[in-house]
Amino acid sequence: MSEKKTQQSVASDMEKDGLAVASQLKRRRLLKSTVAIPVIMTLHSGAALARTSNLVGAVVDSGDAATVPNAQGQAQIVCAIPDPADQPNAPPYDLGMSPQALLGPADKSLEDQAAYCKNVKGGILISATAFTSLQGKGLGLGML
Amino acid sequence: MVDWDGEFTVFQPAAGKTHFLNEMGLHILILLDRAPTTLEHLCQLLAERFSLLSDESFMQQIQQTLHRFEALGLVASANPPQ
Repeated sequence: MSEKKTQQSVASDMEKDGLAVASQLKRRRLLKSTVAIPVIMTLHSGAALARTSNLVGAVVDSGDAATVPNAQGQAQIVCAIPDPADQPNAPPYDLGMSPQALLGPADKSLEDQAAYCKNVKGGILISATAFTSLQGKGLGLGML
Repeated sequence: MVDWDGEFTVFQPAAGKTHFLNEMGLHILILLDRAPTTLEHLCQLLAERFSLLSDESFMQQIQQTLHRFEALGLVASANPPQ
């Protein structure tokens, strides 16, 4: 790294530090200068928020969707059910505190399973990564 | 509860929340923790403690704060004895 770049980096760090300190001082002034009125500011725990929702994005292509093989090794598509059903701000979709998913009928093609999930059950397809993550949060599985 | 030079942090384990309070905010919680009291008496105690005038505006501010504390689950309103 050249000397100039090093100087720029140090200056940038100092600027960031300065902003952080200024912000902290502003907050401290807010609390200290208002002794005549009670002040309370609440910081919500990220873990607590995470417990109350399970947000996922939807997979568009059925070929990218998570599947679970049945006893015969046939693919059953994972159809996650948003809770509540009406989510005007989605995506991401909230699956609620008790996430539920339905497995598609293995005798149908993946495309047909996906269409039935979306059009009939109001569900969404999720990635294999999201499926694994949801399994760790007690994802309930049923049959389409 | 931790004192940061006149600022206070209170962790509420059940809700997973951390509250930042100034001295008066904390004093309200301390007074209510000692014994239930009325809004009027609470304002009187706070006014004495912080050398303030306990007028209508002050009482409104304290009442709003109590509602906020109640919404956060830090205090509970009690019916006066019959």
